[in-house]
Amino acid sequence: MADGVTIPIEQLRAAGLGPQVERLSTAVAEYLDADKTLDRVDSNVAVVSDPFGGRAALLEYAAELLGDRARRHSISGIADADELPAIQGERALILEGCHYLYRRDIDGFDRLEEFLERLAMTNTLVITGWNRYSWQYLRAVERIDEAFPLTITLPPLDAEQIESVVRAHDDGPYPDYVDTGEAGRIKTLDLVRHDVSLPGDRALSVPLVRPNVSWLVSWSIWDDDESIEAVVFEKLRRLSHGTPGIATSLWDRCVRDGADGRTIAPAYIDDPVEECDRISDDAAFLLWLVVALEGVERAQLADMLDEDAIGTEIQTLANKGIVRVGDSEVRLRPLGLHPAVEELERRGLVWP
Amino acid sequence: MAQVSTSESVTDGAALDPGTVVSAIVVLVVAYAAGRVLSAGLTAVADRLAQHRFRVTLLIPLSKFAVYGAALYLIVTTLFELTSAQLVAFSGLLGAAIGLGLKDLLADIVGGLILVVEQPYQVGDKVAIGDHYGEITDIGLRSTQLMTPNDTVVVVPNFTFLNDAVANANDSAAEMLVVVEFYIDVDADADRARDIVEDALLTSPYVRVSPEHRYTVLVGDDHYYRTLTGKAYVTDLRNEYPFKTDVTERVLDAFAREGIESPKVPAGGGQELPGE
Repeated sequence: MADGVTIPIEQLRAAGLGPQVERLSTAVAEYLDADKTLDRVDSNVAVVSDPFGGRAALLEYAAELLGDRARRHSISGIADADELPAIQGERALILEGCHYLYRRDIDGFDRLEEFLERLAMTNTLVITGWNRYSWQYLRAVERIDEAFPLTITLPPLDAEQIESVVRAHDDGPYPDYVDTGEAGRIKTLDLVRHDVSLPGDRALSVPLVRPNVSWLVSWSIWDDDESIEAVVFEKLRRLSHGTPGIATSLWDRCVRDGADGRTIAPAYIDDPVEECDRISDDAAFLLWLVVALEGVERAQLADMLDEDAIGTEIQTLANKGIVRVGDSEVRLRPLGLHPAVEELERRGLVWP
Repeated sequence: MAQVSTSESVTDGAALDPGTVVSAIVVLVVAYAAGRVLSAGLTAVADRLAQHRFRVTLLIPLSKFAVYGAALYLIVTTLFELTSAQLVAFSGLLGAAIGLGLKDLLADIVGGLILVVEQPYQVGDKVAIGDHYGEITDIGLRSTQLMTPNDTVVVVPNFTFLNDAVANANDSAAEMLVVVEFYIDVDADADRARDIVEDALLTSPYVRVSPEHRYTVLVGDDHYYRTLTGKAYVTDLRNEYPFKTDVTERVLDAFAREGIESPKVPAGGGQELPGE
């Protein structure tokens, strides 16, 4: 499920995406069975996920279901979106990278609005892929959810589902699970907020302490090999926040790049990215752009930000391990996602 | 029949010796220090929470008043052990002092207590009190401090709140409505200008749009010029001026690119723009 990795449908279901797979199957089946008229625009689908969240796998599945009936098109960047694929005349269209249809700048919604206009005037089944952070922003400012009656959001996975993803990603041979006597840094207690309704349409957010039951239970049979394996995957889940692409990146880093490549222990799995705090407002906005677009060309960043500042800000984020800087592009690193999102949430830059 | 007198005398209670007075002073100093430490600690925690800081800032005046109240109770009941007669005598002295010149101080303290109970504003809010506009940085027993956009600390006696209107721009929420105005020539393309202002509002790094936080762009016709008023919420009230600067810079750049001109003053003088 990481970028470039496809998982068979059985593994998708085993990885916990069964309900999402069924919803997509149903939408495609209904469309193929019925004659869609201009009056019925109830088939357009938006697949929404975090970066590295498995969106590509679900769109791949949609392509398999539709076969030759569907044309696939991928938008790889903002500039690439200037040439929108034709929709009229197609039976079905699978369009990846729709978060590149807008720029966060004056006149930046023109391309997106043109796309939505074409959607409204066509009989074609359009299945689209969106970055969650862009989707949430566009839902608030452009109400794009109204154009997609079916929205499939990919949820975070649990430890067993992460294990399925990792086994599909890594053909083996698998490392030996060893006990080094410690598990490294991991939280056994979570602080979660629970909204309590009050009279007068008000709510009070109350912090509650929630133990990490699966982690604590896996510790209870620590001497067993199976439990060490369970602890490893639980730690992968915790550090990746259930994002499959990040879990596989962590796995690769620990196993393939690890000490001897033949063993893995809970303590080997650690997050190398430092916290993303104490950054400037410009750096925070740049961070939002990179998280919401997953990759942005430097020239486009210069259009949206103060050109004099972006070099320094990009370097700051690269030094923290949040982004990877190419010749012309700045891309989000998998392990940089959650520190970045934590800082964006703290600043109120993540749209609900 | 023998009579047993249980009346108290003004001279009953703890002896008013230097030791008792020093103890009372120590209690007051410790209470003051504790209040300052609590306030600083809660402010640091609140700043760390950023968007959710208002959940903590409302505790700042409450905690300070609780500390001062506890100190006063300790002094009156434990150190001085005032009897009813002594309290009555003290009340009489206090009344005289108030009549002679402490009434403003008492009014400020009463205002402070009412502020804590009613909470028309709390630490972190952006308010306008009289001619002063800024962020509330402290609410004390006697006065409220606010920091203006020019980094000036204004100390407002709490009594002011009892008599003057107080305008609270954010009502203890992180989000706040910000208004940005532009003026264009009557012959300029107002529709295009309106679209530019709307896009600038929606694409600002600081904007927040939701069903509860709506935005709008109003167009007004003022004979020699047109006014475009953009209203949108910012994610945090501290971003009020960065938001205005961001929107203004980008809108003016776009106006220049599109040939949307500023108002021209007619020959022989004409109507001044607001603020001139």
